[in-house]
Amino acid sequence: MKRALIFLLLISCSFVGTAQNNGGRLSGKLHINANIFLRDSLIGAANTPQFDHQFFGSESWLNLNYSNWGFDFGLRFDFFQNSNLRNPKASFSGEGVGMWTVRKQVDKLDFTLGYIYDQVGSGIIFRSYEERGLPIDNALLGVRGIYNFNEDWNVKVFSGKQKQLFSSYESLITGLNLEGFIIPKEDGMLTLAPGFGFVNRTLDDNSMNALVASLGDYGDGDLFVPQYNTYAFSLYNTLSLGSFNWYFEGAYKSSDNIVDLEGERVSKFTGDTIVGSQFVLEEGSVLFSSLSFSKNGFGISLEGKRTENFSFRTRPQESLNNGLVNFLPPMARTHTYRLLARYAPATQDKGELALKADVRYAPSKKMLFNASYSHIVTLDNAPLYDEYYFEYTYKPKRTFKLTTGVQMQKYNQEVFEFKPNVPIVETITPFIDVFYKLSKKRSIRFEGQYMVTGEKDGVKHDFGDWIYGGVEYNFSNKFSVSVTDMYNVAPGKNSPTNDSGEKLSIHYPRIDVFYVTGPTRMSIGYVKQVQGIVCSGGVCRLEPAFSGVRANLTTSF
Amino acid sequence: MLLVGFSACQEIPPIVGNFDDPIDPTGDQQKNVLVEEYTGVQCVNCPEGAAIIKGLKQQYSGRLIPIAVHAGDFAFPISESNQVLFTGQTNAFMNFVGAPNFYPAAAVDRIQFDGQADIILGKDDWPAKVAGQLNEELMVEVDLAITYDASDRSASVTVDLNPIASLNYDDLILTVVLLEDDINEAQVTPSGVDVDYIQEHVLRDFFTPISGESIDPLVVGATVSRDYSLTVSSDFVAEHCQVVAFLSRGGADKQVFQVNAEYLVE
Repeated sequence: MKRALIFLLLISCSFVGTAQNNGGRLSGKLHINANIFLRDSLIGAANTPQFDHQFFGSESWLNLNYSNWGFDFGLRFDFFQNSNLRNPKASFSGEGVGMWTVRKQVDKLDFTLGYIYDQVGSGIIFRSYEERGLPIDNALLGVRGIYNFNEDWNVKVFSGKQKQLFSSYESLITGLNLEGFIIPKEDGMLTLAPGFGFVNRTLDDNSMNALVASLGDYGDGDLFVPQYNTYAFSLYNTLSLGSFNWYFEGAYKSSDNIVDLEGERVSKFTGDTIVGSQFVLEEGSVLFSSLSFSKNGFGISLEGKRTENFSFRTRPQESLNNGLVNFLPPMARTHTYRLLARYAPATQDKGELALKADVRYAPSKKMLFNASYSHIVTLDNAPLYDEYYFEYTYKPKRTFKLTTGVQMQKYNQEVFEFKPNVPIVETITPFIDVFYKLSKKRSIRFEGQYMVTGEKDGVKHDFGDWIYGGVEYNFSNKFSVSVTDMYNVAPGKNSPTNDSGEKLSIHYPRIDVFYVTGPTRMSIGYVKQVQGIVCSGGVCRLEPAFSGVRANLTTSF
Repeated sequence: MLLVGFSACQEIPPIVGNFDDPIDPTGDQQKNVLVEEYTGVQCVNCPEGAAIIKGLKQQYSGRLIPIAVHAGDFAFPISESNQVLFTGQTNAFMNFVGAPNFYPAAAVDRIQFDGQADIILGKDDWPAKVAGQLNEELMVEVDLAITYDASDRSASVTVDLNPIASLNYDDLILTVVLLEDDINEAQVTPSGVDVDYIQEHVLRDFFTPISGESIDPLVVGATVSRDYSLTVSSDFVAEHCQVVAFLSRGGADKQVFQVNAEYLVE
């Protein structure tokens, strides 16, 4: 395998020399993460191979793209050395071809072979994408053809197996997607963009055998005949009428072998009652709608979603972020401020009912008011997440900007983080962000947040109250420094304790230096980070505590 | 046309639920299967994993030999704990095989099966992998002869390795451990802390180094014997303890060839 990689690298490099002579074009991107692990048992940054004896770990991705002879070629090399990205508790080292593609357009037909990233509609029935931080890379290894009937209508078909690191799952995924664009009246303001999608997943024999083996212990009341094939359909449309925009998508999934995390069954062999995850056979559905209006500085958007039994995986035995075939749109606001993003609700594929409203008003070019509300419950109306958010932005001139506001949350930690019998975490977090441009090249930004959490029996929820402060200073267009600290000002139930059992208030400082030159961005920093979860688009991952040095490099060529 | 084609297909379903009575063991030694389950008293889903293993053990009548390895963050004691089931040794034992990303998790004969990214498997894959391994060819018999002296709590075990097929590997290792059943120790469950929970086949001590003792390549007909001893801690109930011995490879490939177990006190 290593020899094959070296061979591919040499071939790729040889293109660099010949590209200019043969009319081809070579481009690429490089992304490197490097970590030095410094043990800190107090915050839980310990008891993993990296903290105990490896001390260094990294992940690298090199993308190469080459176009010539009417073809587009893509290749990506992935390298993992003592990495804790895939498994925060273990160490993984491996290298290989993470992705390759060959694409060609012949008249109205566009076809692609290799690893395909694509989606149907908003992704509810199919989405293959890469999100390195989670990490998710569920590219479809197969073939895709797109036929353009005309400039408004096209049909897409695809088939393949889902990528699993450097190999693939055995289940087969096949799909079709028809999309169009309609202007009912010429010169009219109304436009429609309808679409229809279909995806079939055929379970492989090994996964089916594993499922049958598990069902062998199920009593007659829980036993069912599993399905090899699951069919998912989706109908969607975007309607635009002047300042109005309305997106709607309805999806249905036929009977599928899925996992009910709150199951209860009797063991056939022992007679014991087993409480926990249980295989079930269920149909699924999703209804999603988003309506927005904006005019004259005023904007409002309303979103609603109903999900029922819409777990869709390559095989039912996969869990966490593994084997995901689809993507369910998140219904909570995405935050970039540290404390506001601390409690982010993961999308619940078993069942949820969600509403989100957002209102923006800019009375002048200098001011913007923004208020939003998110409400998520189970289909049985049990509370999952509530968020009230208000933000005010004042920018009287180009050199000054003030953003301030407050967030109030209720977060069902028991459901989102699998922690039984913990109370719903309640938080109120005011924040402020001030940016001032000192000169043409120099600027400074100050950021502050204070999170107050609720209490149960005199003990603060989760880690308790936090205060966060940060200063970012830009010396030039190329060079900047950031210093932040997150302080557990009033420890809570899960905060670290000393040997006497006393809760500790701990600082989590961070110092970063950034350097940007052309397309290259480098950073290095000392980091102490509390454990938490990282979410992107409603898909979340447990992020363990970290203590050490982090370096990052991205560039394109 | 595609949709009509798909909807017109009636699939032939698999046969389910044909496991009726537990399989009776035969007299000769058969291929047994080692299941190393990673667990902890704080792991809310681990009682479910233990129940699955209990069901499999019942189904395969003694041919499945589980070890409950209390290790990792979920194994830290809770306020209701009377004793600590994890040690530096159990953590090191877990790290030798590979730390799981989720609990409950287990290694089945320490094999990284085709289509799996890791040795560590989720509970939904255990039944099929155990069933598959039970059908594998037996390559070596592992026999134990145990002597226990209650007066000084000394335990001695002789392990005989009788190869049926040639095992020409230079990284063979023999691991011998002490387990204890019937430990009443509080456990977090989906309905709260169960202070009456009974922990079974808990990894307690080691006769060999954690990473096993090196064994030279085995030749058919040439039995290899090893003697080990330890003093059973007074914290353990000797009558509930069993000795488990297994021969495996100790390199990147850690496949277990055979495992066997005997109780300390008959």
